[in-house]
Amino acid sequence: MDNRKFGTFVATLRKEKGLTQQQLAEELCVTDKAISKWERGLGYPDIKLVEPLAEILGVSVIEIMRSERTDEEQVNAQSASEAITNMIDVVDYQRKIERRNVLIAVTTFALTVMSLFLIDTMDLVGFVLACLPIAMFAVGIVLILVSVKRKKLNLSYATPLTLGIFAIAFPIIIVLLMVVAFILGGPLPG
Amino acid sequence: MDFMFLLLAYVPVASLIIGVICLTAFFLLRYRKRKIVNWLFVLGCIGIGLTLLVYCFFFLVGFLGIGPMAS
Repeated sequence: MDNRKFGTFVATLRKEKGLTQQQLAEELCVTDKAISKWERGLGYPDIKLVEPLAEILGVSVIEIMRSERTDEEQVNAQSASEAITNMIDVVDYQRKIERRNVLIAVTTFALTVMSLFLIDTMDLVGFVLACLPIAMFAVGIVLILVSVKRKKLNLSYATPLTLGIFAIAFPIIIVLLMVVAFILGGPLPG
Repeated sequence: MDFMFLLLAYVPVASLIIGVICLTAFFLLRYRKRKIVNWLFVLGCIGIGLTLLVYCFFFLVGFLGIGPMAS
């Protein structure tokens, strides 16, 4: 299913009906941000909302799923099959979102438990200092990605790139210094 | 030797001071809608980053118990 086509179709129908995103959102009991997201092609409505959405916009479910107007008499096997395929795409998309949400929840829970354990072991300041190299590495990756994106958009990218390189250098320098410290002194006897 | 040690010991402190001054200057210029000097921001981040690097290193070395340090 073409999400941009779907978004444009919904936006056109909404405007034809003289509805604002806020009004449509209220009718469907969703947020206006959700409507904006669909119209920009960044997501689909929940499968349960397709029928009420079609009803409010004054079109059939098949038209919504095909993202184009069709005469009721002209609904043939091909257009019906296309609509069903699109419906399956929407369900697949929703499953992906659900799986992603579960993954985020599990990761957050695991990180929280690990953080609490580490804070308990090495007090808060120690925990922050121990996690700093990892955080700096992540920040560095993000900054480099930002600079790549800015370069593609023909914007200035020198600052995020420089900061990104320094941020990635942070954990590398820490590890190198620790290796030097280990070679110079070795582990202290307990 | 003592002078060298003193110099090295004050590197993170000096770096933090330089970093804070640069960042303050950068945000002050930005707030007053004058010219945005990007290198001040970069220098500020590097200054603060160097201090964090030194503290982080000494903490990890102490925590893991490695290096030529007295226990």
